[in-house]
Amino acid sequence: MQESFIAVISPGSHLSQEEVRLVQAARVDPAAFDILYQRYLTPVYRYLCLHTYSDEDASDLTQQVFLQALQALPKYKERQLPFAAWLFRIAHNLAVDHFRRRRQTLSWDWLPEALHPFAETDDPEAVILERELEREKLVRLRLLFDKLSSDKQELLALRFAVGFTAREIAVVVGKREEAVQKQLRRILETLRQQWKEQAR
Amino acid sequence: MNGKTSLRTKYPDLLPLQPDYELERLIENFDQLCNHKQPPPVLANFDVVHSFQARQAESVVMKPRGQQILSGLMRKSSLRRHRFALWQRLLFGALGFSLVLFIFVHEMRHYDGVEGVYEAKPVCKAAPYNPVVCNGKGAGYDGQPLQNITLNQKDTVNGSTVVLQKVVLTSDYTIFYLQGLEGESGYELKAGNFYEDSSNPVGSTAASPQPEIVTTIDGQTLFTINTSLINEGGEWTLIVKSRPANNNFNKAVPGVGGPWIFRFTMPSVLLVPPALPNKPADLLSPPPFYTPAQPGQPTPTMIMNTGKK
Repeated sequence: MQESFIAVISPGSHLSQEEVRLVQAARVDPAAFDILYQRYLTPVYRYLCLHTYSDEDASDLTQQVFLQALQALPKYKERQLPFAAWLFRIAHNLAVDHFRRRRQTLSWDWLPEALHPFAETDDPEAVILERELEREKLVRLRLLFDKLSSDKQELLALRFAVGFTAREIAVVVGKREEAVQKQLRRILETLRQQWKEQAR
Repeated sequence: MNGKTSLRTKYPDLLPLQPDYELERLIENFDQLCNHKQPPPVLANFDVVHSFQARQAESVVMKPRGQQILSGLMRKSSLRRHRFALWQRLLFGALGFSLVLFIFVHEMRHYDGVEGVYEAKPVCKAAPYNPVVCNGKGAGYDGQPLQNITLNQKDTVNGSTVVLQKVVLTSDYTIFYLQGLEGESGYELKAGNFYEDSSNPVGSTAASPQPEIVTTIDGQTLFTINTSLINEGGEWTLIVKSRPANNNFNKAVPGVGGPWIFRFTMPSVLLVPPALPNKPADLLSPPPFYTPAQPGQPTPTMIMNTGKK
């Protein structure tokens, strides 16, 4: 998946050209958009999971992202921005809008199902305890992520949830690749410090 | 391929060459947090194209016909909302401000302090021998003083001096203000084509009501002619006569009888409704009929503002 993104975002590559053709086809016949939808569904959904607190919200927003993209497709200019970058800008705007409008209610959706606190299990107590620790770790990490500024959250989401490289992120957020790379390392370093402090 | 190798492959830019277990664990956990999710079946089976088309159709059906036409027009026409860039907004703002400032300054330059009155071209005209100072201001044509012309012209007969202080012209009447008259007085006035003898109405040209001659407490005598003479510009001659009051008839009063003769020129241009100034330069240029003073003659000093309400 990661390889495909690199190709998609790099102008002039084989996949990029294929994507341009798909976009042009979708303008004439919306049915062609389905291929793009299937290609980007998972990264968009994961990206939005990190910006919301429930599966339901993430699903709703994912649908809206693709519907908006389809609606705005006639205005999209492939020379200005690769399709993937354009799509994630739509996703970002919707996530920001969603965050402003909705009162956030915390749910356990963002945790792996096996780690849900009330999941029924027949596992031995040791396994249950291990899961408990695992869950606590992820909860702490999520809380640390939530405390970050939106810019930093955006970089982490694009790197981890979407799988973009620093170069691809640079295209989406409109920064230089080196700056993105440096900022990512700095964010992880900060997270590590806070992570350690919490563990004490 | 074990987990750590996979992590290195996935995040080569974030993991240092030297093993850093803390960072690896952090990245591993974060990766788990972000990537454990798969889109639910409802999304995997979501027909985005069909849903989009249904939504489009629904929005068309839901909109009233008028709104559909309007939105179609808005989409095509220039009525579509235009967003101005910051520099454009600043430019328009500066232009608007400059325009307002220009109008304000322009109005202030031509405002002479009297509400509703505009400064008009100053007109200088005087009789060669009789300096005329016209310092009145127009106030309209509804019976209010239109011209308040100060003359202060003196005439002495047999040691008795009478001063014609000023003339007030309105659209309804004309008043002469005189000082130094004693007893009953009368006058003859020739103003352009107008002639009136206060003691002999038969000879008067104007069918005006009987003139009023009033002497005030401070000895000022007012001749009020109930006719407007604003259109009678040119040479005016006022001949004032006097005779002692009845109770002092036998008492010798020096100079009684006169006549005191006052000649002066009333500039006709003043007596027409003034026009608003065309340009500031007009205010400074002398009028076309200005006559420079002759050597040895008094300098005309008439400065006059006329106006319109």
